Amino acid sequence: MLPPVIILGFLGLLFGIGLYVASRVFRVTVDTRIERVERALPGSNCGACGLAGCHGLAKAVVHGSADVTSCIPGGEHVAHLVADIMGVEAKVAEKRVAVLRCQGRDVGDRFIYEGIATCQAANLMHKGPKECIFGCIGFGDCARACSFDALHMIKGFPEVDEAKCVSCAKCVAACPKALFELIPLSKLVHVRCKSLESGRAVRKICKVGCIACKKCETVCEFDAVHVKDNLAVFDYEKCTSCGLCVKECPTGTIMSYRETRKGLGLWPVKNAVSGES
Amino acid sequence: MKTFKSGGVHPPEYKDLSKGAALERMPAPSVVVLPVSQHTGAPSRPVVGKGDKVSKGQVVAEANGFVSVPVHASVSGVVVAVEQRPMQNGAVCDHIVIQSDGLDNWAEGTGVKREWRDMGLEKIRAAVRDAGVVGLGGAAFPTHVKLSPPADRPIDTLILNGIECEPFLTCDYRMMLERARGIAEGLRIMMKALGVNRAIVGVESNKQDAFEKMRDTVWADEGVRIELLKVKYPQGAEKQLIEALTGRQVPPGRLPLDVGVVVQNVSTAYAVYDAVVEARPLVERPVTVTGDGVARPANLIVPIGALIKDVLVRQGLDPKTKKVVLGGPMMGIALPNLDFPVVKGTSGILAFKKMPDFMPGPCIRCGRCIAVCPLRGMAAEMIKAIEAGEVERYEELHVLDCMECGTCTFECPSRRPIVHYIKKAKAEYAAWKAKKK
Amino acid sequence: MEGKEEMSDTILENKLIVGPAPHLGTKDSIPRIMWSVNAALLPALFVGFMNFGWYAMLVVVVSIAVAIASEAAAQRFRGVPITVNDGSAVLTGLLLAMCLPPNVPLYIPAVGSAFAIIIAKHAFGGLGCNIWNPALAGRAFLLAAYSGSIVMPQWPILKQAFRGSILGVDAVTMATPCLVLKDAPLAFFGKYSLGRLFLGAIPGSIGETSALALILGASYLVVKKYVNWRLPLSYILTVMALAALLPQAGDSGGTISIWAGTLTVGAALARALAHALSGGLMIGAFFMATDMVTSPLTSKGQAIYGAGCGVLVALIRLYGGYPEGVCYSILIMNTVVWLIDRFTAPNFFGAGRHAAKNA
Repeated sequence: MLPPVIILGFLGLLFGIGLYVASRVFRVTVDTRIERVERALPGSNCGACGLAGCHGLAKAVVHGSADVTSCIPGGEHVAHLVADIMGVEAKVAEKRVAVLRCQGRDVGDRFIYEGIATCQAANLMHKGPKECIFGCIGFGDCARACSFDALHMIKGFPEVDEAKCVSCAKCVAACPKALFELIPLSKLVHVRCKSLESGRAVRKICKVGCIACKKCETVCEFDAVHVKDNLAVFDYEKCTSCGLCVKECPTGTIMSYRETRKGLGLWPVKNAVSGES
Repeated sequence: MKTFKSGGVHPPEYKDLSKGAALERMPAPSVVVLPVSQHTGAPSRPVVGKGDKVSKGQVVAEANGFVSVPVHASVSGVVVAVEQRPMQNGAVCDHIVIQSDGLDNWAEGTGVKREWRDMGLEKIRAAVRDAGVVGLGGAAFPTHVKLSPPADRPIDTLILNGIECEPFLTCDYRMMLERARGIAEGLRIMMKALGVNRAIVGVESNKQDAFEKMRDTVWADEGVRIELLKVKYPQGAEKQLIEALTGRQVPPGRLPLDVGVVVQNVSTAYAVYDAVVEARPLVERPVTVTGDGVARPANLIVPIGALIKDVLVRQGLDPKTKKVVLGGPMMGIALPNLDFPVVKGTSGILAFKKMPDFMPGPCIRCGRCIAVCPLRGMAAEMIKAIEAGEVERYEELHVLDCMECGTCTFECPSRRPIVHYIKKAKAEYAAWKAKKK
Repeated sequence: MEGKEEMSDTILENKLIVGPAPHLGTKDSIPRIMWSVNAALLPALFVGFMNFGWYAMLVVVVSIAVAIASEAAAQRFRGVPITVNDGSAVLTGLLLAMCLPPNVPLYIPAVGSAFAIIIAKHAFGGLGCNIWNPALAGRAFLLAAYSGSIVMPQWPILKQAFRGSILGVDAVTMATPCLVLKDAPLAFFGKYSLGRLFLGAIPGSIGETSALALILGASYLVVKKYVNWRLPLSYILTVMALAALLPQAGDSGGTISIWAGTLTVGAALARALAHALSGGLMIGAFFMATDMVTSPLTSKGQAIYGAGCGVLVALIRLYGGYPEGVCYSILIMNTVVWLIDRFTAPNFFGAGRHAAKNA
């Protein structure tokens, strides 16, 4: 009985010393903040920050190469959590959503398209089969690119679900006509057209396209709308979302998102920390 | 008979429709539309404005840099507009629209015959450039640039491309039959410009009479050999032609001059002759108008800038036509409407009434696309990567080196639009590369 | 736009079709390929009818019917268009039935067929996406799940061609050639002659017996270029070479010296042919291994793949526990097809040994 006990006891002591030595010699210093930041992040590895997944962002934040507000889908909530871990103030930019700058659901086709059924592929063929070469082609590259279930094709035309949109910008990259723009939620009025064609040409092919009549520019009290190259363009710095141009626009190209956002509870925009609008 | 080593397919030829039609000059249409970008290289700069009177052969847009050529009026008349319009490839550029006065008055100084043997190399190259000559085989590369190889790239062989491997097209064939002397003279001029004493003219074996005509036109001691090649698409692609005739392979991303060769189309050789000897600028070119959608298939000499609509209507366009293609059926561009002009690179106008149904299926990994690829690319693997959007792998998979000859797509039993995937991938790669910077 | 000429709307009746080049295509299509392969199997099916009667045909019909139904159901479930008329489900059902014993209860081809289509084909993504040959995957499943009905010491065959039912007294049972090669190789040529093996009046699975019928059908496919002759040739030649040269493992742990003395060319050749014509090698080499989806992309790759299958069949038959190895050899090689593809990728034009020196 005694010899085994001595042998095993000795072995235990030997291994214990070995483990202790190893724990000193082979120690790797890992900043525990990386793991804490990573746990605060959403964990969807969407790549909107431009880094290699949530772990990549956590490392970059802790090493100082990325700002604590880098996680766009995480929004204000995550930005504050990460800021707390890092012990800094979070300067959160206003939440943005994707706005589709086209309403041409009923635009016809110039030709019969026979090729790969994606917008990027169709755009290579004479700028796409639609009569309007600036507008939506409708094969759904944007909806396929969205990993937050915020973009759906309804009867061949995309609709943004603003409640779910986290402004990761995947749809912006996917659309070959660059029809999506990320605009702060507080800006409620948008021109939903990107056509540079003359008013007469637009009228022939699309009932809701901008005809450059300049009524919006005339009525705006804030100098925020100008018609350039046959298209009404907003200066969001000056726009107060008063909605006068919406009433004036004869084709309904300029739209107000006030009611839909109110209904979704997205407007008035609340500050995440203080609760103020 | 010589041929290129890997791949190739045998599409049905359909050349009987127009091979018997002798070259016919199309009279000046009422209007011509001249894009300033008809060639590979920098677009030309317009030098006329609305209301200017122009004569035939007058410069209406000047060359913009070394890799650029001037554009000449192909009719005499009045400029009615200089405006932006879309081109066949989807991009937009200035187009000079001229209303013809029906007189076809040539500009001063054109048509004064010259003795090219007395001209120095620089004068020859300048004459070619000033005439606006570009490769008429389709790529439209400025010919004077090809005839001015850099000093560190010695050229030892000039190859004349009389292959015309695309189905339906017969204009080069008719040029060889009817204008062999002009082509041979142009060949001699180009040999002098390049400083080579060896040239090979390649003709596919389905053009036996053209082969014999060319063979009988060159002298035995000129250093020119006429070779008959096996009928296989794409024998007329320059890399394949060089391999078949000389055994040399042009590496991906490189040019024929890197292996000591320059390739020119037979119609380009004629245009060089016209430019240097007859002092005529490039204002017209041979075009095959054919297909089951035209009542009278023909090989026309068409003024550059003539509208496709005017050419097709002249040859009896069937209103039931479903597809109009510029070029050959393997690599040509389908048009959305008939308001485009014939440009320097247009070798054919095809009108089709009957088209097969478009119903692509899944890839069944049969490997035929790989077996027929003349560049030995792995099309099936490329498509898998393109569908997955793996942009980083496109370069190693040689997606960017694809010449879009269409052989893989022709052979695919699942009718997958492989060339379209490649085009999309190249656009995707360019955008990704730009963003990385 | 100013100065625009009269629009060409009035000249053409319809909108033009615009698509990428090329604007011509081959006349071949997937249905044409699949139905051609189905047709090429008809001679072997006929021999099966000759050997095994109407019940065997019933097994085939059940297998095909369940395959079609399973494909329609799976595609409906996946929400993709139903493509049963392209002939690929029919082919899977037919091939599976051809590998089964002629007297199996009808639920066996039904279950196997459903497994082959639903699990081995559609669960992977449908046509073109499966890694393993669906018919063989179905057979392997049946072998594991219902080995009692498939692994038998004696197999039935009709006493007289076309006469009677395989389930009744019109049939006689014997050991199949593969079983004889496994258990009593030295007595092989006493039981079976090479001529009889070639013609196919032997017991076995429904479609595998007649090398003649299978070669006849397969030569049609080779001429139409649906089958690359290098694959079955390398497969069969590899099996023949290994069967001729390697000694076989005996039951008691030793090896059976099959040459009883000196190795003669005649004996080696006879043995090689015996192996080539026995069991499912012919149908496997010409119809199973050549399945486009599960075989390598390049010709060189296919030859290597055929040789690999051949090595495995020889090892299983000579040293393994089963008398037949074709099914497993192909399934195992299916697993490494991606590796073969990677190593047999051709050198891009101008980038290999012939690259220009001054580039």
